[in-house]
Amino acid sequence: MIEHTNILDFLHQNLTTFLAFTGFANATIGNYIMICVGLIFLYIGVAKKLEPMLLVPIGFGILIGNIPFLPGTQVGIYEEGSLLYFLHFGLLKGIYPPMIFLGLGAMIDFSVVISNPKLVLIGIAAQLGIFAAYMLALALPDSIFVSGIGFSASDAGAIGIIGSADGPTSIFLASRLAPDLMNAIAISAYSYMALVPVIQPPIMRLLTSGKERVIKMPPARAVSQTEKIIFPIVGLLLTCFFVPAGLPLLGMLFFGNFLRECGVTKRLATTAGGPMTDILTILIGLTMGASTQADRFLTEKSIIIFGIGAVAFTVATATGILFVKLMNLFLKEGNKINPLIGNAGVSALPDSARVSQEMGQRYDKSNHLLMHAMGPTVASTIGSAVVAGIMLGFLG
Amino acid sequence: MKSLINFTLILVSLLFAAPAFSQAIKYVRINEIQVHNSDGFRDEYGRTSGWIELHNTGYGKVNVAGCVLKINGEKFKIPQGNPATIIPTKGYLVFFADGAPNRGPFHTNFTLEDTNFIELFDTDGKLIDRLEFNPTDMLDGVSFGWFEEHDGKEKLKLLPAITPGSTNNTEEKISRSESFRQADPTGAILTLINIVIVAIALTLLFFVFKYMGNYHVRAAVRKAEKANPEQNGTGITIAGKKKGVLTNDELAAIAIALHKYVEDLHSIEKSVLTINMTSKAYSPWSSKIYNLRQVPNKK
Repeated sequence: MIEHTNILDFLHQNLTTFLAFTGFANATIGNYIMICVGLIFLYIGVAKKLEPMLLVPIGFGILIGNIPFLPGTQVGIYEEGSLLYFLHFGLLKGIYPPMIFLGLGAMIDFSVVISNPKLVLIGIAAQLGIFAAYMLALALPDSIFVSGIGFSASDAGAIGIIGSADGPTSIFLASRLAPDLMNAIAISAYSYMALVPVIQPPIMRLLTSGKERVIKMPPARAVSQTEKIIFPIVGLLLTCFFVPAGLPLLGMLFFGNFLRECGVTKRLATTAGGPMTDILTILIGLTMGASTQADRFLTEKSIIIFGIGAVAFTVATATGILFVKLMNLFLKEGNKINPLIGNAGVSALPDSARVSQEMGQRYDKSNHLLMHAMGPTVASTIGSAVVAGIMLGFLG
Repeated sequence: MKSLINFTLILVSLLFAAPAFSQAIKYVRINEIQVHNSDGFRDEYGRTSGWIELHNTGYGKVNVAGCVLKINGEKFKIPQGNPATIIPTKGYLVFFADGAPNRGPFHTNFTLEDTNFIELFDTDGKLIDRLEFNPTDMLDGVSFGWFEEHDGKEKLKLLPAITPGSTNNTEEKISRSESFRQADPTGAILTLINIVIVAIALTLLFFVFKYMGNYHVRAAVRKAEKANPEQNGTGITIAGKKKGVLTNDELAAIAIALHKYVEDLHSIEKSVLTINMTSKAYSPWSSKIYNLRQVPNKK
């Protein structure tokens, strides 16, 4: 015989179960902190228009990732079987970054580097930010960590790459060297990329004189199509023979550029540089944001990584500018380089070049530095991929 | 007809599968043995005996059913039809060398006490692996097999631990990155290496494109000269200007004049259209629209 229960007891029982599943019942203070961080990202992206393409997906991803839920319901990004779990796979295994590099290659016009190859050299100097961060992470004593365990050598290598201000490269290297720290490293790298217009100008003003800021660089010569076609082939061979470990990034970058320049695969280049990159940007941003689940992300190591990232970024900007000033000592009058493009040695494409342009315009309305600044930026993209390959070769 | 196609497909698949299997078997090796075992690893009956461990070093599953283990004049054919004879990727399979094959498919018909070698043959009788040992070293409680040394090379030796069914390399290893850190605690050496390699790679790019650029500029000048250049009144060479051929400027002026005439815009022109060659402050190099994606306007 079926036992009839009181309807109120029945409702009470089910409501209690339902409440146990709600976010309110499972929320921690960490979730609320991360939701605030997500809202700040959205505010910066939407209201301040700083890197909206990155900050909006990341910010919204942070909100998604920090909605509390009952574990085991296949909802969260770390729960096998959920949609976010599968999307996160591409980030975790370093699949998205090389594909983003394919799109970057299809978008970047290397003409400026080809026409003025000395701009490539600025890309070397700005890599010093990576090494400053690497050495700093190694130097931190274990005693400052609550766990008593500091950063390992491979952790330090992955953290160092934040200095390149190159999001995909940072994700790629972190996924190989320090998967546990990947979220903190990626968020840090993308945050500093978004903050390029805020961080770099004071450093640029500090390190340059009024006379240097108004240096006008001669317009670059026109580059033939043959040179543009040869560049990705020569670039690939020269860099990857030195550092085969950088092949996933460099191979895709130069392949994308070859699609763009060879003249017979316009549709492929358009797809790689347009819709494909947009899709990957959404996936990277969303999964990166969603992976910042408070219980995994809010750790002392994440905070320290943010601090090291700031040092790395500052050093990279400063060394780029100082290196241009050093180069100017050896260049003839009329051939000198405006040090305001030195900041573009960090490969925050294209924001650092935009900052150069805006700073140049502030001191001389007729001085257009944008395309000159693109030279160090794209060179740095190549340079940081080479460094990532070397780090992987030695520490992987 | 459909069944014939299916049969052909199956036949072709089998033809391709057979060499794949025979190729995979070569990755199986005799990994570890224990000749005398009085109080160690036990079989499913709780009895101790000598044993032989096979290891699949490859990246695919290998079925060793039908393969043969051989010692001095004794052969043991690994029984077929048992799924446990499939060794997974990087997996292990242990046979008890107790001379009692009636105890199960993984009990050989020989022991290891009267031999100084073991051989593994594939189903075609081809030798896959042979492991030789000195019987006098094979004391009770000692196993022998492949061991990875600190230099990364593998050697056959008496093993520091008895590990049937798992890796022989039981010693804790320092990761490559940590051993690098021990040699370079501050990171200065790696920094130097990085800078040198990046500098070489990018400097080579610099030189290649510097000289390639010079070559292209010279080639462009030669091409312009070949095209029979003429000087216009301003002293600027117009590449491609031939006698009787109008310049772009002249064509533009004529086009505007014709347009105005046809459209009857003015009966009499009072102004004079003058086209001067100027050096532009603007060039595509200073325009971001050619290279940068536009930030969407919020309306």
